[in-house]
Amino acid sequence: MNLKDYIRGQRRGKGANQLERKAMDDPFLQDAIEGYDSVEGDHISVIENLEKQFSSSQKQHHTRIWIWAAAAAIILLISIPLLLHKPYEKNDIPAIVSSEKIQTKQEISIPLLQEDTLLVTQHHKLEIEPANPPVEKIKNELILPENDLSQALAGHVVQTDSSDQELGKIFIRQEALALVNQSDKIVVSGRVVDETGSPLPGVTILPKNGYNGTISDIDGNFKLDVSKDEVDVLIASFVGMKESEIPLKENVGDIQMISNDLALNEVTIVAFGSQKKESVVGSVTSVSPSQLRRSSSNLRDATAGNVAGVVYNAPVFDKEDFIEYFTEHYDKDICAGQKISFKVKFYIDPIGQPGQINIKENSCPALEIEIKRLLLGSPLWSKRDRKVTLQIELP
Amino acid sequence: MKNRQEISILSNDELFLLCKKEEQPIYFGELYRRYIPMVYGVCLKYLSDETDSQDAVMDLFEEVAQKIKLYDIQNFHSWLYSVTKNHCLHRLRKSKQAIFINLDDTFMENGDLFTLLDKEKSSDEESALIFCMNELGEEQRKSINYFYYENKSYADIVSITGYTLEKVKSYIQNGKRNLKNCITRILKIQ
Repeated sequence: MNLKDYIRGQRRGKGANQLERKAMDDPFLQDAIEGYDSVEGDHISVIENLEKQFSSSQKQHHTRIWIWAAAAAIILLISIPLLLHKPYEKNDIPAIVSSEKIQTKQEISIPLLQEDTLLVTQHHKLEIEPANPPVEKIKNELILPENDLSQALAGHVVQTDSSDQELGKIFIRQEALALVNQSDKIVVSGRVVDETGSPLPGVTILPKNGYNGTISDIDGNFKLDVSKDEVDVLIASFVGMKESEIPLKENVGDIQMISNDLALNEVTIVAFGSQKKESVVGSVTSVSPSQLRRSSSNLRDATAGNVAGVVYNAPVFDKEDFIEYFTEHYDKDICAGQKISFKVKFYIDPIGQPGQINIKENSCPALEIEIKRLLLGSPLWSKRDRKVTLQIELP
Repeated sequence: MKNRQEISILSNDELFLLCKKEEQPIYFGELYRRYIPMVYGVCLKYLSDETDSQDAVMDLFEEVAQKIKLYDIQNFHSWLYSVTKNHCLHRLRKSKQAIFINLDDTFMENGDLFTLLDKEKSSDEESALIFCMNELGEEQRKSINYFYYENKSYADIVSITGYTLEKVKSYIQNGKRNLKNCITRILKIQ
């Protein structure tokens, strides 16, 4: 049976059984079936409609080209008058920002991860200290909640607190930034994608010196002002992926990140919720519930053997530990002021329980009961089925 | 350049190789056309909206057409699945909706289980399987029996046994897992 018949509602018989068996091994098919079962609608006609669009593809291609051409023409017609419109008077003096002192400080607030949504807000602080004479000293701080810095600046009007009233308004144009991009400064821009070519948001892009970086936006795009004499390469990093180098060019295009051997598409089950692996920081291994069926309520012990780094450590209890245990728990009032020294011989049975206690050379006989009490009540010993002689001397 | 009839007899993988070799839009158009039911279904699952899903199918056509040229794809089927899922999730993130994925029907152990039910068995394995089937609880044993031995579909089993659809799926899944553990234990001992 093919998928379309199953969607139509033909769920009986060997044919349906065969498709269902296929779905057990094929998550693609499984998801598709679930999609049709979870949403109401006349799916077959929708599918056939969609399929029609691909059967006589040549004709479709031509009509699509016309549509795009028309759209492009309309956009041009609208944008030309806008470009010609001059938003400022001749008398205003444009500020020329010098090349020397632009520092971009970017504060990136903590990304909140909700299931698969990544919220990133960026605040840009821009301090402009021009050095050229024709411009009055301006000290401005722009705090702009925008993703694209240069776009945010373009056309922005900034008020000055300068006492010189000739410079009432300073208009920072996008071209001004271009003037800044002289010999040693460039704007590196590009897009980060994963192995399937899908954009990766939230990828950290930093120069090797570690600061003044950025992160990629929802479409994987990034833009960073870089000073070539300070930085020689940019590093793109993202949890679960191998670091990627970004060369210092204007348009680096797509930067492909390769995953770090962990399959990012697996879903990790955390108690009763679930997190996509890419939102979990740290090393992740999936353990199926059946593997957890051990007689230990301790998750750490239960995962031992299935998760790298988790080793089953049977709690160790040996002579040294008992000495410590005794010293801590014995009643110090009993032989107060007296030296404590004794030898005790006993047998540890197969489950680690001491017995057959024999105390010798005891400096303080009153302690005998205490010794027996603590020995009988101690944690189970590690080395079992053996006779032990222990000498204890306390200062 | 093949004609329509020649194209229609090619398998998906053969067609894909042809797309990579010769960049004729007609080859890729046909390949994508064949995958539309799958792609649309997955979009429905993640986007829940018919119109949005239809748009996604069209957008994905463009996206996949470009990416096929750029990336070295070993297995088109699973690659297309990843791309489709990623596209849907990306779409959801953009509209900033919380993403609720119903896990009830998702089986965590897809494909991983090897239970001999579909495969050739040695006589030892055969005996182990029979023994282990008898060790199963009644519902699991019945469900597996109907599904694998009598080739009944889920809907068939629902009407025969009266179990709900979700229960049938769950009995089969858990039953398979129990069988696997039981068989592994037995065969190891030997």
